[in-house]
Amino acid sequence: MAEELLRIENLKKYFKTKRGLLHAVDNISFSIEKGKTLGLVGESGCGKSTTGLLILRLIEPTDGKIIFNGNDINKFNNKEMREARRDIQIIFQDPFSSINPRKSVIELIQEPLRWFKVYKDKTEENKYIYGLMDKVGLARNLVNRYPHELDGGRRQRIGVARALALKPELIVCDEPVSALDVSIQAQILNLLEDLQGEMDLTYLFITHDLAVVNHFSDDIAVMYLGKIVEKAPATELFKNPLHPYTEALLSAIPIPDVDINKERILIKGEISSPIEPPNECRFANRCNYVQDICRQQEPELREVSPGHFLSYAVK
Amino acid sequence: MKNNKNLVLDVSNLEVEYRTQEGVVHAVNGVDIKLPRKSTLGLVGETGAGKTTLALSIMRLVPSPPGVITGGSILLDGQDIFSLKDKQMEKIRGKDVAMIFQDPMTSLNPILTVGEQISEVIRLHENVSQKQAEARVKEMLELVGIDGERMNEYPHQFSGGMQQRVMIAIGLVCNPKLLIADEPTTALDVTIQAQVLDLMRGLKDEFDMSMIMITHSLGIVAEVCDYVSVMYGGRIVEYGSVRDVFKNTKHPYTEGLFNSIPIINAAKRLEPIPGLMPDPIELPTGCVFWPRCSYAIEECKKDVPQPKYFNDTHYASCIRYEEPDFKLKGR
Repeated sequence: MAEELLRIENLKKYFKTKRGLLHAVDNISFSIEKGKTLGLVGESGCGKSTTGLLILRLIEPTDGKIIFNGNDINKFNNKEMREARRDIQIIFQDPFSSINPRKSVIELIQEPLRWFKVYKDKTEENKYIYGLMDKVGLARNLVNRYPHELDGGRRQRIGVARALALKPELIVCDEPVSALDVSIQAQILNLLEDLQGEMDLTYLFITHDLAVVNHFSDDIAVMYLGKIVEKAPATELFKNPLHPYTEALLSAIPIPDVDINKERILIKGEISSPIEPPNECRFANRCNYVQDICRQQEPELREVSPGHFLSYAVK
Repeated sequence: MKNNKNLVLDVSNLEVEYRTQEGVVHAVNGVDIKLPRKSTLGLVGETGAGKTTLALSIMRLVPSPPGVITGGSILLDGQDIFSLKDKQMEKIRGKDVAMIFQDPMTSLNPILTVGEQISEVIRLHENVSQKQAEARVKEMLELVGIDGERMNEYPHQFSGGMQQRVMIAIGLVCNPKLLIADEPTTALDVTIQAQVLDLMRGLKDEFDMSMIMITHSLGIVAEVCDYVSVMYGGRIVEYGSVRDVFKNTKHPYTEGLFNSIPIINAAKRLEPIPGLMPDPIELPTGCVFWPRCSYAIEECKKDVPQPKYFNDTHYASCIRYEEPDFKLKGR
């Protein structure tokens, strides 16, 4: 049995707004085993990025547990949390806005190392940084360059190097390739895949791109309006999607193949408001198969076949 | 080129550069496009390939300075648009050729209602009363799936998908012969993207127009387009029907693009194209793609490769096809 690295239990994050409570993340649970990748997919506003920020405790949850390596990190004080962040790192979507433009490449990678006073000896530190640059595919002669001198792919490599610098166990990757061109996207995805094998990393891979997540993940959880509506091993989810939203989401992906003439399932309307949502299935207003039972109460996520979880009143 | 009457757009050997302080950016370097009526052309390529500059040239909206059109011609419905005066071009823009941009939030005017923005186009090009214009606005909004009663609302009151529908309404209201859509769904969620693409496909048939779809997504090309031009470094490196280019890929760059995208349900490792897009100020000599091309030989660095035709329409600009048994590795 593989070792469980991260376990989320009934996690909630509500934001106060003028019009009421905004349910950004609403009672979600999942776990990731060591060395595995969980893909968290969904569209804008589904709460996937908020989930990522909660796991790093960059924002505080309203309720719920985040158990990392057996400890509930919500109970950590500032000092303990600071230590825990050595092991939990994040790569952000936009390398243009997530790294300090006034620092050079070497300063950017030094930052986490200095913060935790990893190296006393400067030569050793430099040696480590150069090794890290080799690992993420940044040419050593770029060491004194500034972010604006580099293209998006290289900037994202800096983001990866920073995340790796402290040898973390878990990396939250929040749309790490969405801002990049396809050929560069593939380079970064391959890099993340190689690093996972080499360093025994565990990923929470947050994305809206289903093709990427299918390629990259062991398990996939689909989020809609703060809820996980379906979760299953990647191949199972793509072969046998059970939730109407998952089905529509999969059918909406444009496939680059002229021989596939699939019947597209279009869902009507747009995501409804996450503020004070009514006690019914959150997808009911857009669902093609909605029935009375869907309006009666919010369905619970339950296991319908081994490893396949579903939150759907009808099935 | 045979039978030019059937072409809604005929671009020949277009060259556009931007003269900047850092040097001359060679954005478009000899591009040909022959677009038959009622068909959709996909223009694919990565950032900096010259797709948007090409589109802006067709609209005659290349910012000048620093942009300069240094060569070639563009015939729009048989009319040479470079010979037109600015005033004449204004009559064509929005009427014969319209463009939708990637980001509807920044291309709509935030202080005008959506109704005003649609009727602006009508009243600029057609001699109609306010009342008639208003009726048309409502009709257009309904057509793109927005309640006509919302014409007095402002852009910020609409979601991203709805804003893009408004852009489409503005583009189509004068029934253009050619619609250029520059990454129209890139900023949208997939389910909304599917709705918008579906809408555009339907309207294209209804309005009998031709379309250029600029995109980086080969999936969208497969679903929406009849023909596809693959651009790299300001040149078209491969062109043909979507079926020819997808099923019988000829240019190494096109092959590289296909190998870079994750395919659903295939556990294959991605094969990215090594290296980066060339600096458009210092483009490589010869074939622009040679520094990243795994098939490159010494000769590739010498001359700009000429199109090699594989049937009436399908071509790739790669000199390796001069060798009779040259083949790509395939996917």
